Amino acid sequence: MYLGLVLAPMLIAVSGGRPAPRNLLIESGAMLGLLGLGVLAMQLVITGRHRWFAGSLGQDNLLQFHRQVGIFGWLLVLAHPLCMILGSPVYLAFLDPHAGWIRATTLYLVVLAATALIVTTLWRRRFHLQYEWWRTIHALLALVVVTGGLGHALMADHYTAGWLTKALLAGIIAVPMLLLIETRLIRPWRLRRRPWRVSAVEQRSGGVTRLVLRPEGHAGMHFLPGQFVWLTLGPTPYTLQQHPFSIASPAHEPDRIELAIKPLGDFSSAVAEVACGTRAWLEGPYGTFSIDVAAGRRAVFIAGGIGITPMISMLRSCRARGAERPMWLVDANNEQRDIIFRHEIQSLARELSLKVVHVLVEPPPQWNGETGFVDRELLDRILPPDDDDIDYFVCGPPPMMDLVEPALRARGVATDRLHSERFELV
Amino acid sequence: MQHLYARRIGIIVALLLSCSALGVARVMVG
Repeated sequence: MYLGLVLAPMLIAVSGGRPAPRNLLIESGAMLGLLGLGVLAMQLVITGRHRWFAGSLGQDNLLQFHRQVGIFGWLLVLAHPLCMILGSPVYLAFLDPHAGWIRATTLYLVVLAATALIVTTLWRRRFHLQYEWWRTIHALLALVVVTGGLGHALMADHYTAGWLTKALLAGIIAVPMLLLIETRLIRPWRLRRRPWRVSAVEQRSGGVTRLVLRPEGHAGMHFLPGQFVWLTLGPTPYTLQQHPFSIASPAHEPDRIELAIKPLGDFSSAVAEVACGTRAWLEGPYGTFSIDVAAGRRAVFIAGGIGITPMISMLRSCRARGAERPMWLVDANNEQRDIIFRHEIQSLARELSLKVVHVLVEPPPQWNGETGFVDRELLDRILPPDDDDIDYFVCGPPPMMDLVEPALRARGVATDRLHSERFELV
Repeated sequence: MQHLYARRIGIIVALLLSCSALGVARVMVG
């Protein structure tokens, strides 16, 4: 579906008839430009959290794809004028405001906006750009690029000379733009009917804040253990601040959502100061990182830092359901004081068939648990042999994921039993 | 699907699309 939608602008353009042929470099430039328009328009859909599009793909997988394809789209935006001009210097006139100021300005605007999109995303932290502002700027720049790209394609008048071709092209590009408006404007409006209120704020070890939310005037939210929500705090859902957090509470409590938030950015740091009674808005649930997708198989959970949160939701749900399947939990942290839910993990280990292994990078002198990083050697030592009946759930910071995922693959774990979720994506 | 493959999929999709565009360009040249 994705490939078809991306190629649609190009196919619409060439189906309108065969204009006077040009050399291969020019035609390649034209096609790369139309492809760029399709790729960048579809970027608006990829990140829109549309269930019909995301299917069983995880949101983190989609965001990673969005990031890679975004760079590809930017290269197409640059390759398009380059090929056209190299193919014939006549196209230099497109850059000349005296030869057509709307056409030239649109072109400059698209190239600059696409470049700004890439630069502000790859180096957001270096520019000290706050996440909330980056997210708004990202959407606005994306709209500029897609609108400008469409305008440029319609004004080029080579493949798009016919009114029907123009109408079809505009129609197909309008859909992702409308979907972006739906995500950013209409969805918050729908959230207004389902408010939540902060009922408890507690400080936990590792600097983590535990936030408990209760629904107001509705039944709450049904979710699968391990899923996440987008949280907005404040009187209205129309705000720049909307952040994804894994749910820590068990799935049988739709009217009580617990989030464990580690101070990794401005918003998550400010959560500790939130007062009880603050209005909250939850969009979701999202994600496919759930033990409910594993049909009764044994389960291994490997968590790094705050990555323990979805595991806690899954383990609490298992406890509520009286699950008897054997499970292992590998909980990796830098220091002992960083271990989150430590006492609850101990009680879960007693109540479930759960073996817990804490791993510390910087252990205290009296520590008799595992130390170092979660690598192949450690996994071989503490986990049972993989007999095709174990599901693996991995959630943690990128360096840990980069170590654990290949180690599990090397142990013979099939990809359909390896479930992973990353955070700190942007 | 997991991240090891999510990374490769982006590159494979980019190659597939580029080849498609260049193929259509070749056809349009005649």
